[in-house]
Amino acid sequence: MNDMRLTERDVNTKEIKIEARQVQVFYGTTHALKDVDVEIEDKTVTAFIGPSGCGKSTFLRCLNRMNDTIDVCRVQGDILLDGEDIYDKRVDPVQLRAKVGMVFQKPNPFPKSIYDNVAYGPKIHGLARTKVELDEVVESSLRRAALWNEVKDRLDAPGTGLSGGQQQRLCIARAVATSPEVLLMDEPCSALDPIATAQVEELIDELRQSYSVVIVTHSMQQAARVSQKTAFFHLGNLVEFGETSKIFTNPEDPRTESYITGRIG
Amino acid sequence: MSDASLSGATPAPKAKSSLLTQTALVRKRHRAGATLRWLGLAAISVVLFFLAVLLWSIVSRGVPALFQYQAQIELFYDPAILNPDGGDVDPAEIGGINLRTGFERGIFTNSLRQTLVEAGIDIEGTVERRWVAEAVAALDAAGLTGGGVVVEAAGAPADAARVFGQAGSALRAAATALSGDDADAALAARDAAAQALTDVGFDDAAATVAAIDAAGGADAVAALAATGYQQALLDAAGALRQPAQFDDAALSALIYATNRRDVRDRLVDNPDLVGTSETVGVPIDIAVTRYLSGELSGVGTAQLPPGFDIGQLSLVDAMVEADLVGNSFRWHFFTNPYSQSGEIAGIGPALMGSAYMMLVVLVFSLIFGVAASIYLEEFAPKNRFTDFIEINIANLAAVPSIVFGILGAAILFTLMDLGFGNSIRGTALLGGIVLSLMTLPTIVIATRASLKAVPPSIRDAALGVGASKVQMVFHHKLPLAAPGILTGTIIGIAQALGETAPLLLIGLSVSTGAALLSSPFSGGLLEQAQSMPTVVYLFAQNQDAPVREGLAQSAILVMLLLLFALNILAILLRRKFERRW
Amino acid sequence: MGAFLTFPVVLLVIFVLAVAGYLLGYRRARTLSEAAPRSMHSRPNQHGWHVVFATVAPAVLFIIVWVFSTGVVSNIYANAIIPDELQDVQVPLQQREGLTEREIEIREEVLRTQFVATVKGLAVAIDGYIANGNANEADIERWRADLAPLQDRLRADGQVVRSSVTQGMLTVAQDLRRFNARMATAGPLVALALTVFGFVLALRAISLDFRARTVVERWIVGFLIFASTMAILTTIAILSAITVPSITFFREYGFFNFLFGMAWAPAGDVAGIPEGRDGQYESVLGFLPLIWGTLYISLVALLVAVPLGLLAAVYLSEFASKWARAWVKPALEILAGVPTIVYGIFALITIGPFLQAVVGATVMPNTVSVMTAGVVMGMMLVPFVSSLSDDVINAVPQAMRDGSLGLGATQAETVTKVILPAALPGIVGAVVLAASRAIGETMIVVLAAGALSNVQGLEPNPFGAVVTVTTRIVAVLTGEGSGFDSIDVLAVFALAFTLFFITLGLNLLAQRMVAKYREQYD
Repeated sequence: MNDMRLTERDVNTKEIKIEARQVQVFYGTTHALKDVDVEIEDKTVTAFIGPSGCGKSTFLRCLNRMNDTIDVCRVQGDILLDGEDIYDKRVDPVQLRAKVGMVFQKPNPFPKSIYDNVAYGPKIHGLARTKVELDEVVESSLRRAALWNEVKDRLDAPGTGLSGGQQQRLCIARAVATSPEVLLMDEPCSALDPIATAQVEELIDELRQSYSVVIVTHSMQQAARVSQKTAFFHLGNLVEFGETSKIFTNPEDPRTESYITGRIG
Repeated sequence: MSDASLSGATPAPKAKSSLLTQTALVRKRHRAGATLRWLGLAAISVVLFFLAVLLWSIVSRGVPALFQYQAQIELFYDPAILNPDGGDVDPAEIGGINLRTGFERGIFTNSLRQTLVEAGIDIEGTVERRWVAEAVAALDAAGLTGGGVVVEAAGAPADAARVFGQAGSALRAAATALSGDDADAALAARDAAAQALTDVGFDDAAATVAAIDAAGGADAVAALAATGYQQALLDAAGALRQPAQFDDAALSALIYATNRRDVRDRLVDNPDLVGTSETVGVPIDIAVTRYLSGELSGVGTAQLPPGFDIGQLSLVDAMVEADLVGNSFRWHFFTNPYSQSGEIAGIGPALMGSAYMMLVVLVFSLIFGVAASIYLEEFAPKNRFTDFIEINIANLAAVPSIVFGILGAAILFTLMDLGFGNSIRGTALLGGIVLSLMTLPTIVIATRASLKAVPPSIRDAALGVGASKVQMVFHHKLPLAAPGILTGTIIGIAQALGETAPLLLIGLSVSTGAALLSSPFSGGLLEQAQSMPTVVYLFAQNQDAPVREGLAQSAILVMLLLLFALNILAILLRRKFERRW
Repeated sequence: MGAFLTFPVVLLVIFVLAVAGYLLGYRRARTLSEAAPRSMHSRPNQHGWHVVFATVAPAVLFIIVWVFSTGVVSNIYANAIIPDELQDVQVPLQQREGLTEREIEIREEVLRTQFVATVKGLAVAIDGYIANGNANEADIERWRADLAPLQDRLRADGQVVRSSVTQGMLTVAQDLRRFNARMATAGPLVALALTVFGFVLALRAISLDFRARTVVERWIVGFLIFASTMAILTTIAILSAITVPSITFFREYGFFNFLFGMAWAPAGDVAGIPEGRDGQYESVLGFLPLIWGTLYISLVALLVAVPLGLLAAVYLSEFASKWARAWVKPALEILAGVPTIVYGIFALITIGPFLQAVVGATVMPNTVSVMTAGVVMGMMLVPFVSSLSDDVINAVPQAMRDGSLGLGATQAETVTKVILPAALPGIVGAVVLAASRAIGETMIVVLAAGALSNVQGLEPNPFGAVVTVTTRIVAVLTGEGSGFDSIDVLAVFALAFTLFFITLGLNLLAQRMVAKYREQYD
């Protein structure tokens, strides 16, 4: 669509939000992710690309410890959020996830009203003391997710009744409502049609103003469109990580080049 | 902590909070979460505790009840008793004798007496010693020491009883007089009571009574009562009167009631027994059994087996000492039919009846269940009729079992109308059919699930090589689904095995029906039958508490073991043949 | 010939012909196919099976239909041949006073029903008497002149003759016997004819072009369809079994008298003809005390089962370790597999005395009570509720959990704020299903709720004994002398009728709820 934009975009050196060092992930006896080192910057969109099963989603789920819910999954190495190891024994995943929000591949609104969906996070985290405050949070979140105008007259309607693109934006609003510092998105557009995808992509670019966004995608065009940094995963290895423009125009690793030119994947 | 971020389109940077320390809110949230967790754990604990109590109450009562105390007695078929006129003993005549005439009682009593004497037990003496000990104990407890000497001196216990009784009466008279208005009479009565005690030989007690202030009124009455002499003397007198009341009936009661059919039946079977003797183990009365197994201590009225006294228990003790009584496994429990008498009651016909019924259920519900499932899963068009069938099956699975009982009763009445008459009532065939109809939905549901689990590729492959639909189902899908069907069937049968209510309504609990079964393993599909759960019901309604609480649990134990066996079989089959596609 | 040609004989013939048919058909087809290899449509064994089906199926089908329809037909016949002017079926003049035409009509109908039952009984008695070799047909006709000796003779032979025999009765009974005899001869004859017909036709049909396989498969599918209608047949049978006597009862006693009666006091309990003809019954048969007892116990049971079952399900599906699940689930399954009579006895001898010891004999005079039965029934329902809830909770998609956890909710918040609300319709369905079970549960209440045969009003004390619908059904229908002729027995069918429709309603409701709930996530 606007592939050319990436070359125009300048990337400032910003403060590092998440730093991963020598991360290993095992599913039972399978070594799913090997020696991953990544630095994710604040107020930047970082894209993870790679063929299916390469470990990009697994790594993403490590960043807010969603892998904890899988019994057989073990994580080794350090992942630092603002310099603190999120796998430290003292870290409460609940508190971590409030800081590192997540949007999933398939839109998964709760079977509640649109309002309750967005208000869920603020309510459990105690972010609003009064109904008025809560209303404000819901409205601002929906506005930030570019959904407000479409749903403001039917906030009591069930969230599951929205269209696919709207549902995904509702999920983004839901994640935004908890005021996270990092937003993880696991192939957020794979279940959407091109128009909805464009809306969400635009939204991601907006969100970059406030958050550090990490997006997993299998679409290279999407990565090129929305991200400033790109990491290429292949067979559980982080092959290459760098400026998006560099990865797409002048990759260092031959595997990256093969993938980008469509020879593997 | 993050108020600033709540307003405005772009949130201001929040105050950084470290991940390494839990905020108060998060701690509170975790505490609330832990409550739910603990509640869940508590719920499960309650349920498991209940299960444990349930199983324990069955095992702790059922297992001991499977053992029975038997007395080894040399049974002498005395012609003198069998035919008091001295003539020949005619077995046919004996067979016709009413049980109540008690000629067996004579045989049992004499044989038991003889056996005890041969074992060196002094029957009357044992009983007497026990009662005397009881009397002395009562006196001692009240501080009237030396009672034993008095009894010995009196010669017969009955004489001692009179002496004690008189003293007791004097004390009672004194108590009455003391509570009256007449001071002189009170004084006289007190002294008379003291004198009576002195006469018996209780000098200390006499002094105590004499010291009571005759003008004390209510206080004096209380003081007298506090000594406990009156009660002790009267109790002792009562105990000492007992040996004189011991007779043959009291002796034979230990074994008789349960075994009274025995002698007659044996003689009818084998007339040659007349005049001979044989050593047989006869069950001890079930009430005494509880004493023997230590459930009752024999001390105090509440701890005595109902209908027995300590004199009889002393005989039981003597028999145990002489090795005449042994505790043995109740094998006949598994072969005998149900009976009101716990000592000989069993579950033989019930086991057979249940087996017959399970056979009917297996054949009937397997054939019809599998056929129905195949149709619904493979052939049925998607239309209203099919939906109607499905709704019906789902509903039948949830219809209360008693309603199936009504259906069974209706089938029963219909069959009776059709000329089968009353003979169809309570038969294994009828029971089996009713249970099959109940089990059908279970099997249909299980079968359809396992047919569904066979991947469509098998179906496509079979149809692809030119098999017809019927061939595809019977040659490919059915064999692959068989283990699942089998497992479902076994579970359905296990359910049917424990079903009670419908069987009650078609006449399986009728205890007269049980009497029809003379031999444990007689009967077939078309005979009056019993089943495990209905025999449990009969046991539970028995008039004797030991049977209700003991043997009922034994029968339950057997039934539960059968159920476990079936379920384990199902689990093993599932493990062995489980297939992941 | 008629005497020898009975259904067992016919069945034997059918079996022999079927075996012979398979062998003959197989050989014939084989000879044909050897003569013309590969040009035969069906294989020899398929031809063999075709003969078997053609021999067996029509005849067996006919026999089944015949056996079940003869009773009905003979009933209709008996009804039809009763002369209208027969005194036995008319309300005597002195009792007609003060009755409307409609009431007389109803009573006459009841009289007719009773008369038919009596006549059928008499016919059976006479059949039995003759079969025992005591007399022949002519004797019976000769004895007609004086009925009392006939009655005594029958009774002496051990035949059941309930009421005294009248001339009208004997006439109708004899007529009915002749009719039954004709039916009994005709049935086997037709069956035999069908068998032979099918056998011959199928053997003659064997040819190169005959599509035996298709026909056999059609037979098989036919059987499959028949088997799948068993469920419908069972439902119809249940309905007719409870509806017909219930309607008779409602017409006799009055639907609303029954439904809103505050006392249950059957006069004769089981036996005896009620005082029906002047409109007054000694029996008082009100539904309310019974349904009160049933619902009271069910309520206690649900109060025990629902919280425990739900909490257990939540714990097992969301919190428990793998190890705990592996041990607790089978334990719950054991609890679910224990027959209800075991629970009943447990309630009777363990829980009842325990409760009595706790609350005291003044509050709880008997060991049987609402609480005794209710608590144990609740425990019985725990695995039921928990396994249904477990299914429902597991049907909530993982995405919901991830969504909630990903927002930083704790496990417990996810359960209470997302999963349970999402699963609510399904859980309510499970609770309704459990309620239906509790209402229909029999053995626990029979043993542990109380066994009064007379109840006045509603027992408010949870530690008092009550009577339930199912208890009454068991008490009356296990009595030995039951039949359809007593109002007390008819009332029990009315109880079954209401029980069936209450549980049916609850089941349908629950199934709808669960189905709707599942559709949401499929």
